[in-house]
Amino acid sequence: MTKSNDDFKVETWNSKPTKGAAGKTGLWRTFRPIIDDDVCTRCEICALYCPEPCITLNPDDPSHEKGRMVIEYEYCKGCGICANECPKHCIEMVKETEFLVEEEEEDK
Amino acid sequence: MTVSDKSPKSIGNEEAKTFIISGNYAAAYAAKMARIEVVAAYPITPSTDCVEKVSEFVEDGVMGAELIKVESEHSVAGALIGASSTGARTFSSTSAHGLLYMAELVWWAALARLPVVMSIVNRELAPAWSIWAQTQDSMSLRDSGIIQYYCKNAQEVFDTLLMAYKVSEHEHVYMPSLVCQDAYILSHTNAQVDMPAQKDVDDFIGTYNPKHFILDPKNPVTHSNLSYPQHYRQKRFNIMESTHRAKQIIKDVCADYKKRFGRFHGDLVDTYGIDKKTKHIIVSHSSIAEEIELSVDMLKKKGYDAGLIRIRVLRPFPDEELRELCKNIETIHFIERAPSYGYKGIIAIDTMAALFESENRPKAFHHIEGLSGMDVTAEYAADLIEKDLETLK
Repeated sequence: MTKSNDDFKVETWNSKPTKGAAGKTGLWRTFRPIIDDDVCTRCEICALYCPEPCITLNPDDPSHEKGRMVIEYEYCKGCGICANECPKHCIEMVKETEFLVEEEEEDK
Repeated sequence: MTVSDKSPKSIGNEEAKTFIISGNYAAAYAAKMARIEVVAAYPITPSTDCVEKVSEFVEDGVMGAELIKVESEHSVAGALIGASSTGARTFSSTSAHGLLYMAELVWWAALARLPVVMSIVNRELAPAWSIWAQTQDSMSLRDSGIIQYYCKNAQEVFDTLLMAYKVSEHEHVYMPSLVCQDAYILSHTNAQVDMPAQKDVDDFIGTYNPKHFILDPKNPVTHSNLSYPQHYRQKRFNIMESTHRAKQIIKDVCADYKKRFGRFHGDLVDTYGIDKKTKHIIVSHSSIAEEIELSVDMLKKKGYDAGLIRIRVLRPFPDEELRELCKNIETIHFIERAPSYGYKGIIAIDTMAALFESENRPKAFHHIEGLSGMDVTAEYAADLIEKDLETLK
């Protein structure tokens, strides 16, 4: 019988769940969700609905007794589900091009 | 092996026995004796008898497989892919439109490297409706990577199914297999089938212990996630390597089967009447080839140095074997059931490509015969060859 007398191995695609397995998906984004921290009640509905998930509550932030909602823009694809679900309508989807000018100025 | 370490039961084949049964029943007995763990089925003529027999075995408690009744052939393949992914040995049987309906998932099973084995009863495709033999249904899936065996009789169906598990589950292969037989001519015709004792089959076939990947809740993985071109290419070349390696593994498994059980139906190819003098080779497949063995005898009596090659395994294709067998011949005659519309017979296409790399390129004659199960008698086939050869005079 042919036995494994060499290094050949059958290879399949098996990936362990890991952060950013498909790369920096934030690069796909056209609209950036911006949370208005003054209106936000920290209800965490956005975090619940985020399909990635890249919205989390930072409980140590001093801006509010519950902390502050933080969006991880490296992976946020800008799908807008958070803005759609927010009961306070305090997440605004802003065109990425607007930040481009800002960021260019920062670079200077 | 999944769920438990105990193989599913198979009762009633403790001793070696001889049965007079159809090709469909031969496949069902082979599935039982292979101790398959999961069978999914959506019966279609003419493969219905096979899964009917399997469900009878399960209902009678002589076969320990889990039988999943599904709503379509597409779901059959889906169920088998899921089951095989957990490390279960799986089986089903289908035909014609059933196979083409699951075609997408046949590719999936192959590219996911799952050793699903199915008994295929080759049947003509509609329109117009026909239920008789033709091999285009499975042959049209030949590029998917699935290993394809074409059997000439019920005994070969039984033996080949057992061998197919052994080949598919080899750690260098992990590819699915189709074990094909002709509709009615084999599937519904009772013939002698010798079966070894269960213990000997167990020793031969072993259990399926996948090393490449397994779905296990205790060790979660994502299987077949989005893959970027470089990784994709690497895995596809891995499939090419595995399917090429399968040739030698099939030869080894057939030799091992012969040593254990005394039966040999050829490995990648089966030959009849070929010797050093052979000048005219007939290439055929499936049950037609068994009939053509008689044609070879007739032609020899008339003074023609004829011989027969039966393509037993279509994928991986036996190109080296064909070059070796055809190196000194003058003519090659294809008699086959399956045309590739717009070109020639499917086996002829592959054989001619193999012989293109040979020093000797024999004159070729192409015959598509036996469509929709039409009888190809020994006399008729011998006459075809004789007429071919007369054109050269």
